[in-house]
Amino acid sequence: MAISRSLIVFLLILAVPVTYADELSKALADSAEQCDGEGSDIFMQSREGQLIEAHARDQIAQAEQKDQSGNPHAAYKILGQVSSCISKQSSQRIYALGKRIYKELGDEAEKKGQLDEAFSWFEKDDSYRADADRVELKIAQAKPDDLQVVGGAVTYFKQRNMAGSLKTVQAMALQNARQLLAGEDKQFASHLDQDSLKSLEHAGSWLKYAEASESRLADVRAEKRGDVRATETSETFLKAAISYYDFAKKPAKAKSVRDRAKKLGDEAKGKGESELAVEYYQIAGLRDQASNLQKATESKQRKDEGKRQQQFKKDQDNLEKELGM
Amino acid sequence: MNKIALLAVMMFGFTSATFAMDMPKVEYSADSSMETEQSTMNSHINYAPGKGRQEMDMHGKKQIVITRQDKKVAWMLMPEQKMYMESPMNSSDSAQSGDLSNAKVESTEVGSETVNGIATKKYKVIVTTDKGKMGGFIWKTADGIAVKADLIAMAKGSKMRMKTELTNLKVGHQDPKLFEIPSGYAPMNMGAMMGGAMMGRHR
Repeated sequence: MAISRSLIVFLLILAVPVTYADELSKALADSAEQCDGEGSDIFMQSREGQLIEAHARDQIAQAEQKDQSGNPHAAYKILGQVSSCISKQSSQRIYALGKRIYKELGDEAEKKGQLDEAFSWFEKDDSYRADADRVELKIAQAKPDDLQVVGGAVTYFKQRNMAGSLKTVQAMALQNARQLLAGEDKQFASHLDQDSLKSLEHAGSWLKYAEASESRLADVRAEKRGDVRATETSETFLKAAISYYDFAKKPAKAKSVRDRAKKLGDEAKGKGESELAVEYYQIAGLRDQASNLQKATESKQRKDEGKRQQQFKKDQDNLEKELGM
Repeated sequence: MNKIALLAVMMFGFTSATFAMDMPKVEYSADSSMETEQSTMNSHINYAPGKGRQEMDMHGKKQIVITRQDKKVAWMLMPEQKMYMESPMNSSDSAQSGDLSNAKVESTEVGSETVNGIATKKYKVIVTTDKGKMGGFIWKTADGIAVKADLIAMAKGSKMRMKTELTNLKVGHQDPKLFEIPSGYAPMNMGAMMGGAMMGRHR
């Protein structure tokens, strides 16, 4: 009997925390459905609501203690676990503590040079907007050749209506574009038109973030390149001219190159240079005409080549006999 | 080395050596055709002692090779891109030119013939080396221009025939500009071609 009485006491001891944890867990689950909707005050007055509030106060107290002992990271982690279904007073305590923590964590990250992290802490509260602005500029200055970073900073300072910082980051974008355009100049002089076009594309990406007055620099350059290549007759240069005009959004000029390609195709066909004619027709965008001529040319070549090989072998036999080989 | 490669090297060595034996002292231009069992190649050539130019049409794409024995250099021009590639000419490269130092060469004048309206002398040439046997006929003008050649190389039981012929032969002064890189051509710089443009990185 003594054993069974001890067992009952032990089970009771065990049962109390299990029941509390279960109850709290259920309350938290219920709060998700009942707290934010109508009757949330009623929920707050319920036993489940009171359980949650008491638990939240414990958590907030723990977080405050962690922050006071110089561990804002741990404090922030605890705050993240607090239910949102709590009293106004507890919410205000959380807000006050959170605001303090954001600044502490932002300052700490900035000191360590973790600028993206610092920015995200400062951005959490409007009180630290000046800190966020300062760090955003620092981020751009730390990666002045990173399109996404500088572009992001331009967009940010435009939204913030900060003319001074905006001008600084726009100047970075223009500087990158100018570097690319200087490289493009050499590529074009070396007839590396594909590379030149890539450079223009990259420069164009940067110029989207430069001041509006500079935004068409790459387009203007591309049009000039197209004008030079359009004077040539080779397929490579004519293709390049069209690509430059397409880039510069000059459809009429691109069309004039295609029209010229058609004319050159007709001339080549007239001279019996079918393979060349096919190339020109392809540039002109006359796919069917190019395809038909290509098929006819290949068919004739196969037939002619068969006859030639036959004759070649026959002549070889005669030559071997003549040489006695 | 496989049979085809060996035959090609032997043929190249044979033709190079045969033609180089007695290079013409006159300047000329002509249309040239080269035929093997697999393919034909037509080109236009210009020649001056120590200098050569060959314009080929490769499936509608023009390609020009200028050889300058005097400068020991060859330029391959790509008119499509207005670019050129330079490579050294090394006459001592026996692996490429075919080593005929130990070859037994028999050359006999067969008679006179008119080829494409041009008076020539026909020679029968047989070359025997430790790698195989090559032979054929070469038709040469009094100036030493080989207007026709019909040659066979045999090695390891395989044969390769090559026939070359000149038409529209015009002996006379060639414009020295033909043997120079035309203005406006850019050197093909592999480094520049490989170098990518500056790319934006991601945050």
